[in-house]
Amino acid sequence: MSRRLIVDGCLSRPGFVLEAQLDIDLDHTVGLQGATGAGKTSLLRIVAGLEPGFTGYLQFGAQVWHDSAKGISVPTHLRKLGVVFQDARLLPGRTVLDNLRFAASRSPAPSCAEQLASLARDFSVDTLMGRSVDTLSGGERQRVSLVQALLTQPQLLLLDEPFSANDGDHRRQVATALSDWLNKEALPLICVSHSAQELHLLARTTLKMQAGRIVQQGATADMLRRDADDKAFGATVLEVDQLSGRATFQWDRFDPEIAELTVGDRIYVSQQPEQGSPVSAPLQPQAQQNHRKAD
Amino acid sequence: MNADLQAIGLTGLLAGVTTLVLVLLATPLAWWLAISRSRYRPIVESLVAMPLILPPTVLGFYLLVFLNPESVLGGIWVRVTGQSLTFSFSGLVIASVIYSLPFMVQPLQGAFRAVPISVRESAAVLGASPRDVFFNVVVPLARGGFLTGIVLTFAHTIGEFGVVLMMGGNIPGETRVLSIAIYEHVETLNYDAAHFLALGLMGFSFLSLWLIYRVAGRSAEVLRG
Repeated sequence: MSRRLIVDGCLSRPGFVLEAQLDIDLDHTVGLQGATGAGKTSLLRIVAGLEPGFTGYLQFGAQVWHDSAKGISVPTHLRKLGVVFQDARLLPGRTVLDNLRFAASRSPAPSCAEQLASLARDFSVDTLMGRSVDTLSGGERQRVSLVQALLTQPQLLLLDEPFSANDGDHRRQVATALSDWLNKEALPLICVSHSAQELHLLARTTLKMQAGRIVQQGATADMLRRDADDKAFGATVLEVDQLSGRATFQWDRFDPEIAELTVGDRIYVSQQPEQGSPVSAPLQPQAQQNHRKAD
Repeated sequence: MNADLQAIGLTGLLAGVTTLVLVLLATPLAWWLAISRSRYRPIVESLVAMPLILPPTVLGFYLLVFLNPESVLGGIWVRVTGQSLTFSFSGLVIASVIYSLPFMVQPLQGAFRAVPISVRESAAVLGASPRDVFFNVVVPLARGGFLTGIVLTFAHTIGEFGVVLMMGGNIPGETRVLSIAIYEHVETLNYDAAHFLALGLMGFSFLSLWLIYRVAGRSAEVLRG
């Protein structure tokens, strides 16, 4: 079955125009990257059929999902999607189990209780089953939402920052569990993420969006390397203490989206810092650093 | 006394039938008002809210004009059922449905509007059709609005007077409802009987409102405007 996704059209709202031109084979998982407001979420919502203002053409595999010229628009619930929104929406006033059952009973081939239980274990929501979703933390909501999406046995998975509210270890664990599931089910995926590590883990191909357009497309590793080079930070040395090897910098270029540094953090630069001289160093994506540590 | 019991029974029946008809009628209307972006929405909203402001006599007058057997609508009704719509129970039901329309529509509309579009979207991506979303997601979340609407409509219909007087008259067992019975008792200076019914109505009104504020809790915000 073909998994080609074609998007060709535009969505305009006051102060924002998204011109989507995309023809991509989703046999490889796809990551979506870009600054806030670049249109990543809107693109996912167009694919999901949640943007009534979209005009143009949209096709997944052999199914035409939207064709403004012919007046075709397949409603969302018939597109067989799994979607995790950034704010991890659940059905309020119900327990986690009720939420999961709601999803399971609407899948094309209703999944059994066993599958529900095993998915819940994989994404560590098995301990939350009896709780009302209104009492969950952001990270817990995201995990429940993810299990919900997988339970509908989707033909395409759309994730919008699906782990952003989970911290450190949990985040890695959930991303790994998802990556295993994707490999097992060969499920096509489009995943929006700011985290280089997650893109490495989940996406073979990455698209970069800027101001409502897709501006770059390539293998995730290449894209992230290029990204890191672009955003290499630069600083001017203010003061050097030769004895302790400590230097004080003033940042010239620094992107908080790809690195977090606080006073006292250790960084490595390629040249000997001297007072008044500029220094720069390309930032390594975190995942690469981790890989190296692991080696 | 027997006549009063008959009036109480008739009033209860009228309120019950009116509430039932309004649940079925107002639910789709309130849903449309809650989600529609049509430019005709404010017009429909205004029409629905009219009975809140109009004197019941005005409403009753026009219903009398449009539903009497000599009118087009009233004439059709007579030909189909053999009965007149004015001075009959069926006519009272129609009048009450119009008179109490905002009391059902507005709480429902408020409750439907309080269900975020994001919740409907997430149900849709899980494969729920619009009908499925409405009955299994929206309605359960709007149950407070349903309770408020049902109790308010029922209580409001119980207290109906002007409309009934205009187009129903005072026919025992057919159109002689509680408020009319009280009016008649006062007219004939039968204050004891008037007290009996009036106090009963007071108590009933208080209990209805107490039930709404107590049980429906936050969804009763609509009552506070």
